[in-house]
Amino acid sequence: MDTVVIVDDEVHIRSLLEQTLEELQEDYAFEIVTAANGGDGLAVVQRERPRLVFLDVMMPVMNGYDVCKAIRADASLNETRVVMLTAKGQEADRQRGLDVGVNHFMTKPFDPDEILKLAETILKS
Amino acid sequence: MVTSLHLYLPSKRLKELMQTLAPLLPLGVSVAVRSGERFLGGAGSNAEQLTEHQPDTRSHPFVLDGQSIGQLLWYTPPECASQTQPWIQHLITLCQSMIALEQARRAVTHEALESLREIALLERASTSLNRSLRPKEVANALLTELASRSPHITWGAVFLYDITDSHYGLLTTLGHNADALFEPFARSTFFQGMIDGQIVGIINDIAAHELCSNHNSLFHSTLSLPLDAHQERVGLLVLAAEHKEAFTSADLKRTTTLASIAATALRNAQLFAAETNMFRAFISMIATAIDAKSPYTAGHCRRVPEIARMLTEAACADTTPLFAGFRFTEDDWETLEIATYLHDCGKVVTPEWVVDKPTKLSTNMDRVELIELRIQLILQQEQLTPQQTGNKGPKFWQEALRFVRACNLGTEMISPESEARLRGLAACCWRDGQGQEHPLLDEEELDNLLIRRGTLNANERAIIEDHVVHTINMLKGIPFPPRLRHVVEYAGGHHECLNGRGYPYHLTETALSIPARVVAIADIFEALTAPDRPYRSPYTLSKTLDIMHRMSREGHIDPDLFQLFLRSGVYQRYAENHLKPHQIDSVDLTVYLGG
Repeated sequence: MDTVVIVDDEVHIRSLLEQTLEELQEDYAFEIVTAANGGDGLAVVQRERPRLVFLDVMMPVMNGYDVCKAIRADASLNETRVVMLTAKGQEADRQRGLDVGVNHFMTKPFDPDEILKLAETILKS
Repeated sequence: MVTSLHLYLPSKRLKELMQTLAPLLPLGVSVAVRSGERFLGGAGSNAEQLTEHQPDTRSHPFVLDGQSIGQLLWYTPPECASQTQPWIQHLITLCQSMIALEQARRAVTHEALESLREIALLERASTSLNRSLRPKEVANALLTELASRSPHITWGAVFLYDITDSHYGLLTTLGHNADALFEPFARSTFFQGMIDGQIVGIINDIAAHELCSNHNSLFHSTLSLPLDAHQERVGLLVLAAEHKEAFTSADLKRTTTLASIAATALRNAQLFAAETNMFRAFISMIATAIDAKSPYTAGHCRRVPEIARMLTEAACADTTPLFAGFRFTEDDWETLEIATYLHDCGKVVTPEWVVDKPTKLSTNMDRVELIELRIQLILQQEQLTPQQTGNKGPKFWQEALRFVRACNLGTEMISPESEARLRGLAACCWRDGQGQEHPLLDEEELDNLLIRRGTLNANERAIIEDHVVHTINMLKGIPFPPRLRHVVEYAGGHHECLNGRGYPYHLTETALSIPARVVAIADIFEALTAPDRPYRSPYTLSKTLDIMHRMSREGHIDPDLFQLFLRSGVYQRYAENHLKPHQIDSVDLTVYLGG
């Protein structure tokens, strides 16, 4: 079964994303696993080998860029798509995200429909 | 909304709970949490196999909003039933409070997600609906946004309210064959109900509605909302579906949010249109004033825009490499229209006796009449003193007057002989009442009569040429918005030439854009074919094109555009609409198109 990993230190963001993605579970079989900091997030990703990772930027232990860099350093994870969640106004940091191999960006507060659209495209492929 | 127990008893927490419980259960007891066929968690042996039909197995349902979403099952060997019961009761209470908490958390999250959706919708809508100041584009953006988010919408239409006649006019539609469907719909009593406010929001079965008589439309459900902004009616939004019971409260909520933004955007677009119309009326007023100033150039300011538009359309449609990259946006068309209407606006400050100067001696009056009076005076004086030497006699003076009148017309070049004759006449004298002698032609009159070609002297030519400078200065004073920033350039360049010999700035090829060159050609073509000029009768088509062909070869006008003017047939179409039949003679294009 496919896995989607949510890595964010804010519990409400994890909760919002999880509940959003549940809508897709009616049509696609996948499991949602969450992690509350970058370090745990990387461990979860390495263990679960997910299709899709939602990754916050500013997090304790390890920030989103470093997590993504580590994911990209592992060739066996090159099927994993990384969606970085940036705060409004941080759009300028996108280049940094692109440099470490982020595939997509979403701005917080996110549009649930955009999340669903993106996740569906990835899960469908 | 998904209602399944696994959402309210997350597996991770259920697992923890069961792990804590397992060592506490008496031997042989097993418990399981199931949601229908799905096993969510359990403790004890055979937990996964537990069903309520097994002997000594009991169950407790978990109910949410009156709906059973799963159950707790437990098997107890008869000997330890009483011992187990308190644990089971405790487990049920625990699970129920977990479900209640999770239900509350999910409801709050659900609300937060709905708010996020609404924020996103508002953000997207306020961008997409305010992107344009054209009512139709705003309405299209509204319908597109609504249709992209709701699968129930088959058709949509925006009606604009016209305050002058209280009529709702169809502005735009969406969906297959929508225009043909909305047109009869707009005449129905049902639609009238929407206008009157009797029908607002969702009607999920039109045929059953009291205002629906004789339902024969493909529409079976509608969602309609008035579009109001600043307490004023702007229009009406109607969405329709081909099935009954098509629209949901979520559709209504989304549509209400968007309709309020759309109404404001439409209102702004209408206000902008009103301002634009007023500006256009001013432009039209100025063009009318210039045209009215001179009977001879009447209609020039109105006809040049037409020629320029036709030629520009030809350039847009042209498939040769010459104009392959040439594109015109809606703003460009507006720019060209304003520029062509106002290209001669500087003429409001040019004295009309210069604009129309019919003869060389014209100022506010034709001074040839003065010369005639002087000659009559000389003749009288000669008759009073018939013996005086130097008298030239009536015949001489009659011929002199005829000659001066002919020179005055400016239709022919002044030859060296004519110049000598005029100078001779100028030296003749007439005496005033005090016996004072004056020349027949004063210096200024002589200078005017000696004008080699046409009727304008150098000073007057400068005044005429000055009209472009006035045009440019007047237009520079108008704070055109960025989208119309080229008006001055297009209008002010119509007397410039590719070879740098034009005026007022002697611009050259590199500084003259295609539209500026188009305006120059339109101006010349109109002027040459115009019905009547004081100094000549209108040219025929062939003579006009001859002159323009020469101008094209001499680098006066753009040869590529001139060729396009010919091969696209623009000249012919314009001629058929505006020229007198006798002007439209046969034209041999091969002569010009050869190069």
